[in-house]
Amino acid sequence: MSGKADNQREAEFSSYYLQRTTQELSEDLDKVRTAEDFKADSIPFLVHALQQGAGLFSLEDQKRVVTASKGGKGQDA
Amino acid sequence: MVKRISNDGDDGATAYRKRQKVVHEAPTSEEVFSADQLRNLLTFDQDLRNARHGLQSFKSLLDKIVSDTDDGDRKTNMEILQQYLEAAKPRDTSEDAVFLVDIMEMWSFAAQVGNEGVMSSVAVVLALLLQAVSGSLHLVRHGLGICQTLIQERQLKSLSKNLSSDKNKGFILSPTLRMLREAVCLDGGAYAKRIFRARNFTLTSLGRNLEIGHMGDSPEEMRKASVRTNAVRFFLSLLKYLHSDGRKELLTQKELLSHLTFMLKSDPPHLIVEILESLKTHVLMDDKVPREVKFRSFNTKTLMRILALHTYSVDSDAADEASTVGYKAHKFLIYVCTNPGAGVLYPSTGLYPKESDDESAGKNATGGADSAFLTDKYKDDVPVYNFVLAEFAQKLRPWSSLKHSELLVAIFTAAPELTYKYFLNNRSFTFEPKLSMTWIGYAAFLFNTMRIPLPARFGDRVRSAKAPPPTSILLDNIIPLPINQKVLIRCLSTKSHLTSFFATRILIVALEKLTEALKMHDEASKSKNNNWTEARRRLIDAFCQRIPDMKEVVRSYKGIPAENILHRTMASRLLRLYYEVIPQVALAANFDVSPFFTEVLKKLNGESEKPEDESLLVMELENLVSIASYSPGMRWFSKIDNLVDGAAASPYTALVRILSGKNRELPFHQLKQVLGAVAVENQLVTKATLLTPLYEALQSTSSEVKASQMEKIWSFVDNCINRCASSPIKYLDLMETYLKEGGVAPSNGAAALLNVTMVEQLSYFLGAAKPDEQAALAKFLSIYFNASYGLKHAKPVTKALYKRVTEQFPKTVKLKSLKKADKSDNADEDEEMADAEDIVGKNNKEGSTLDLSKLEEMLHVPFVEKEDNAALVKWTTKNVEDLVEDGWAAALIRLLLSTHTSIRKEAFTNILKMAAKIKESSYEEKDQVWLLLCELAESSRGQVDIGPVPSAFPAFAIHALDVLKNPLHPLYPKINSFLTRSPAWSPEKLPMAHDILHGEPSEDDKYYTEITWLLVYLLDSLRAPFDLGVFHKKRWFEKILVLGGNPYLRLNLRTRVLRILYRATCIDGGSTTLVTRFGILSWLDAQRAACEAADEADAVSALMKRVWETCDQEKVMAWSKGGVKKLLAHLA
Repeated sequence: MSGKADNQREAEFSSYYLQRTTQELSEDLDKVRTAEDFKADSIPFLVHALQQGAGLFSLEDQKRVVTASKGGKGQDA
Repeated sequence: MVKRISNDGDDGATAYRKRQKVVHEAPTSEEVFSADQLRNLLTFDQDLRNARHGLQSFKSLLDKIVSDTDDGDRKTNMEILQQYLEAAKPRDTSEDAVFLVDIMEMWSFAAQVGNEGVMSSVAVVLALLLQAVSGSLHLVRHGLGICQTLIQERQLKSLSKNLSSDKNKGFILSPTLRMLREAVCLDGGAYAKRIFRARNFTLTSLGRNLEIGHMGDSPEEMRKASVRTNAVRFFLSLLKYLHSDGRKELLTQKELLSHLTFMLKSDPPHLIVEILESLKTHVLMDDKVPREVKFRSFNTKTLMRILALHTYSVDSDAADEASTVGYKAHKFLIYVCTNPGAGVLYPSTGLYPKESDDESAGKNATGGADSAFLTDKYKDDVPVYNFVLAEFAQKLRPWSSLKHSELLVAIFTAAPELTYKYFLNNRSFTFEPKLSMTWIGYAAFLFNTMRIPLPARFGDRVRSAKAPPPTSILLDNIIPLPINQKVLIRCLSTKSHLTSFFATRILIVALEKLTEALKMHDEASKSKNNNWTEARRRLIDAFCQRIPDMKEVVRSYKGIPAENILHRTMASRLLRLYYEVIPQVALAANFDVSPFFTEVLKKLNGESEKPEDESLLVMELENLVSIASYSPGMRWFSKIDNLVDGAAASPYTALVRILSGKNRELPFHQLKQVLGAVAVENQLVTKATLLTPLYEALQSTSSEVKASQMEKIWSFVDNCINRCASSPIKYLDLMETYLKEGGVAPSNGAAALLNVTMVEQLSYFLGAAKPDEQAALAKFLSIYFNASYGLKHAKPVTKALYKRVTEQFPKTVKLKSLKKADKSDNADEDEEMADAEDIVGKNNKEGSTLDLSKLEEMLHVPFVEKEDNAALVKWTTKNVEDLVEDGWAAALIRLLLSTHTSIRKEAFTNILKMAAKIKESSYEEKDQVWLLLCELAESSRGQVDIGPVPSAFPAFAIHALDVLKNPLHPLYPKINSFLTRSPAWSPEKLPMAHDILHGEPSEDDKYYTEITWLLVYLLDSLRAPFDLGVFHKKRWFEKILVLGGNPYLRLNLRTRVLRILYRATCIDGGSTTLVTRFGILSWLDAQRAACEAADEADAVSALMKRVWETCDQEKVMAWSKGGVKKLLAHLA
């Protein structure tokens, strides 16, 4: 696999990861948003914090998730 | 009023200046048409009004040249300028020649009389003139002449006068600085050095001028640059054009850099960018500027000023992040702090603290004994090389700013020594969970810090060759100080999914990093250094104290809602890591994985998820399957209701179904591996590869038959698998019968007992099945047996079994004969499907056999931990629960083994006291613990005066304590009944060992769990020649060897047996006894031959060598009549 494809896959996985975390932690995130120390510029930090865990998945595992999603879409279409 | 008085009293010059103000306000000028006109205008005149008029006219001309875009006009004006310059050129060609003598005269005169208008105008004109000539090749020499003139004493004085004008005289200061900058830049900085050399004049008041910033509310305009902006540019151009030596000189000018950065935050963005870029290119990246100059220039104060730019106010309207001042300042700081050439970062020694001068390198190398001292030594502070960075790090706020966080992580990466120090000095900032941005920010920062890889050789090649780094420092690099057990437990509480999610991730990183660290220890310990093994153990112990018990993680995992699959996947991964990295903690938790396991299975088999979510589920399943394979109590073959599509199935079959599913293209290597291992262990097959035909047959059959028929096949397979696993002996017998009847010789090696079960169960199935179901099963069996027949091994056996299969079907159902199987297809499949294990095994066999250090690493368990004499006193302050749970009782018991009589006696009395204290408490298991302690004391009473008590006593007591505190332990009933049996234990016996080995297991499937406990206990019971005697006389070695001969014993149990043997070789006379009394060498040789995995065989042969090396060789030779030599020669 070329580096480019890997990068793209990583990006795709990362966005999937972020979407999952926000979905799973939505209740708590709402509470954080109303916390005193939450400012407008906290959002990028929060996104970074949520997304950083994506790196814990090996490239192979990321591939499993991302390609599965593509395969699924293919079937749906 | 005061000011007026002082002005009144001033001399004439001041009065003159005051009058001149009028002139300054209205300079007159005229348009210049020729060089002659210009020359006339600029002739020196004592009347400075005329001078001003001339200068102003010249300025207009120059303005047009510099800013005009119309080529025609510009050309004409340039010609006028050139003619003028030619005409005004001095004849003299020496260095004393004065260019533009009239202007210089005017300037000098004005400076003397204090005419500010002219002082300003001259500077304006000269700056413009230099700018104008710099763009024209043939005029540059005039410019250079002017520069030469400028550094003559008279001009220098005028310059200095200009530069030291009052603070509010920007109209003089700015053009003068501009002029200087032009002069420095002219012709590639030809005069930069000389201008700098005259710094007593040219740098007059530069520090002050650097701080005369822009006034007013509106932002500074490009065209009307402030004095500061001009001063900064002059300074930067000097930096640019000076050579390294000059730069060094410039930077060491008093406080210049401090003046430069003082007002940084209020500068316009373009200026800041210019400053940062210039400092980076011309200072930091200049290797010839000495490091101490850089180091002094970029002190904490400077760094903090640049750091303040992160919140630069004008940035908000910048289009993209990368062009903002904040971002550039961030990049700059990262460069300064992480680049060794930039002068701030000092080379350091990683996780080895800086040595003070009086510390000799050899002192640290002693390890072991010093370790406690070393740990304490760095408890409060640690010396570091990078003290500036350490100070700077403390000022960062990584929890509230992403950039600070990134910067700090970058610093830690570049100077790993700082991680420990940072957290040590920052103890007040806790990680107590709270749903706030600060907590999340801190968690993110900690996570990134932990993700920094450990430096190679822990950061110091030389010292790592001598000794491991201090445990506390290494530990904090793996799991930083703020992350402790208490906080983590709170984070993992089910109240908040967010905190538990973050804590889970953090723990995953910690365990993975620990694995790395342990690997590094293992590599280092190869080089014969004992300290590393010791350090490895210390590290694991310390780590386990930092992290929550596994039951907390299990609780957290249970609390995650089923739909939070990402969280569940991470939590299951964490549980798996507990099993893989710190099994001692994981196994103590007695976690029953089956309910979770089935839950995920049901989910996977149930309604369809989104494909990417399903991948996560599969990962969760894999984690759970691995955990199941590590858990001794996993019930693979008991049916669970409603597991697959509403039908009951065993977890094992359910997994086989997943593997044989047709639509899943996901790699299931791990599932296959575990299923294979479980199948082999339960004797379904003798080799994991024999399962492959099963998967294949199931997969292809399910695509060919109807779903309802397939269900029948599944239930048949499930039934066969479970029956085979639950009564293998029956089927082994049956196989023998079948083979005899079929006239086939028993095969050696690969045979699938499962096939025998299928043959046997077939008749029951056929009796109840409809014809179409029979046909479907026939199809499955023919595919399955054909695929099995393709494998090289046991063809006759398969054939015989298949014959029985075909015979059982009614005549209406025809099965393919085996010969029709396409051999060419299957012939090489066997090769392809070699077990992963086999491949590893083969590779290893080719390599050299195990050397002794590796053997030691595998089998050597250090003798009982160091005696902790402090336990004698400390236990009294602890509550009863801690005494039992935290090992205080165990520590005290261990002291009975002390070589000092007084300590043994003290321990003895204290054990009795402790027993009394426990008895009086409300501790749940107080009676049993009291009884245990009393029996221990009673049994040891006569021994403590003579010498260390038999090792079996403390060993039994300590391991029994572990059981007593956990009533769910399978041995709990046995220990209780043992304790009530007699008041004291015989020193000639191993307490309770007999009951376990020969008694019935308390629960059917707990036999191996009990054996595991026993083997650990036996190992601890074998320490001294006396213990060896007990083992010998009471025939414990025979019993252990018989146990070790059990072919179904798992590898880890076999290893435990070998460990006991290894331990015996460490005791005086142990090896000789083993050889001459128990024929250990032949026993080991037989084991070796039976080993399937090559590395295990290597371990056994290495152990044989060790036995030989540690025994009384002469005696053994005589005993064996030379046989030993032959045996060993065979080995080599």
